[in-house]
Amino acid sequence: MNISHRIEGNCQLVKLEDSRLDAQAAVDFKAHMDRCLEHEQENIIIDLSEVDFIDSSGLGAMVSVLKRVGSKGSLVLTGVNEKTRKIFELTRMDRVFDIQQSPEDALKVLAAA
Amino acid sequence: MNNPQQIFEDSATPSCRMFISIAADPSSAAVIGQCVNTVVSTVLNTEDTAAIELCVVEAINNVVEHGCAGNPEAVIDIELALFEDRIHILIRDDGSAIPVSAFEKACQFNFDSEDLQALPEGGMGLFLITKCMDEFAYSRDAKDRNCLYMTRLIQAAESS
Repeated sequence: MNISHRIEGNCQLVKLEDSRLDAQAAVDFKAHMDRCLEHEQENIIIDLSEVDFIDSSGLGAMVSVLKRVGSKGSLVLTGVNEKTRKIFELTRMDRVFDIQQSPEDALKVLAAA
Repeated sequence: MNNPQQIFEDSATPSCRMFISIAADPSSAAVIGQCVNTVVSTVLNTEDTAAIELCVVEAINNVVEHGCAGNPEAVIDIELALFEDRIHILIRDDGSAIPVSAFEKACQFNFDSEDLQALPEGGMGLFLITKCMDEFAYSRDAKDRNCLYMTRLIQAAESS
């Protein structure tokens, strides 16, 4: 899976560049996020604007990241389209994740926290 | 549970029928998911198409990760039959039997959203199938293969 990564202030901005976060992509995603979690910036924004399909494995990988971030920082998702949001709603994970419209919105939320 | 094969064979003549056979490989779910999406999106709306793709992918993931793990020669057969008001999906594979408890557990999927460390990272695949499909049934067929049958009631097509 192609993933871009940049640091902004105390945040890591991670953008998934492929359209699918499925069982196969979840392996790469988790490995990448393992490396992110070694950085000192503990707030993470994951931009899903290019992602058009998430299955339960992809969702499980994001839950895993959320648990690892824990109380040390915050994890915010952005760019969740109508189709992928449905997966969060069906599993009630929309109540667990902080979902913002854009990375800019997420940065504002994290700055205000 | 009802007999999936019987339900499928007793159905009226569909307007469209699609059959795909593929090796139970980790890449199979994405290949079939995108293939099914491409075909059904020509006649179904976005929501129905997304639900069908998701359920096919989840069912195949389940076969590859659990049922057929360690069996490189295992084959998955996927059959879709489209009717005016519903779509039937039949997935057969060479994997080990799915315990009935797996379906019961899927239906009871629940968690405390306040308890971060106890959040589930798995067990959502079959649950999503139960949520997206209006009917599903499972059995072993006459050739001792897994046979998962799913039906989704569909909305009016966007185009004909």
